[in-house]
Amino acid sequence: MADPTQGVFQGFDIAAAGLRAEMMRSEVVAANLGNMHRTGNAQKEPYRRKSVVFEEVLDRVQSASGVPGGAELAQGVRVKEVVEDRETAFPRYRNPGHPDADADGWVWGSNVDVFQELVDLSVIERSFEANLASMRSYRTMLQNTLNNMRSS
Amino acid sequence: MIDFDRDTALTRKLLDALDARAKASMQNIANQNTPGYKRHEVRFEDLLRKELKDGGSVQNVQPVVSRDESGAPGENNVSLVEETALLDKTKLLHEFATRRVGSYFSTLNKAIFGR
Repeated sequence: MADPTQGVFQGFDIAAAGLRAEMMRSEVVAANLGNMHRTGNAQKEPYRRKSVVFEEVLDRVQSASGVPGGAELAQGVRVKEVVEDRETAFPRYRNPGHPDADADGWVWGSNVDVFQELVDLSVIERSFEANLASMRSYRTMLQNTLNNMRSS
Repeated sequence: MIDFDRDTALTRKLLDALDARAKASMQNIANQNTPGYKRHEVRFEDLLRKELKDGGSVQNVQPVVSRDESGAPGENNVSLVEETALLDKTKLLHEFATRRVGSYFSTLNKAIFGR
């Protein structure tokens, strides 16, 4: 172990990575909600719902000190990719006066489902708080190390 | 003769295990929404119990980080409630271990300086 402080603060990096990833996920939800009314038609695609995919970050160089297999515990999580929802079909509705309406008056709406997005947002909030709580716990542990292991 | 290494061997290993366990819990919490993620766990207490039962020494015991492969393959097996509880438990045990080391050294201090 070259730099002992690096191992100590690594715990914070894990939680920070979690917070960053959840934050990015909430930004994608916000983008979905903001663009949910962007309409289109056969020529012009309406807004497509986006979602993020997470992946675990493994760093085998630096690890929890002196513990076999500790290299597995690394740097938390990151956003692997933002994918577009190509499964859900665009809803169509008739609105002949709409600028995006085709010759027969059909307009394509985006495939964002408001309620799904709101539920996702609650889940993200909960995950974010869990990461925050774990960061706080780790901080307490470090503080206890400093306070309790003093010989006086 | 005072032997720091021998006297603090158990608490040092326990601290190593608890630090790794806290990191494992944090990693698990950070990956609660990662598809296919399998949780990390740190074994120590059961290994220690087995070693001592077989008449071995604390020196031979090492905390071990491993993957908990339970649950359906390709399915995330992190339970947020359990992970948070485990992290809290780890925090308390860590407080106990640090206090133990602290009191060991303050006892030595008293012996040396008489205060």
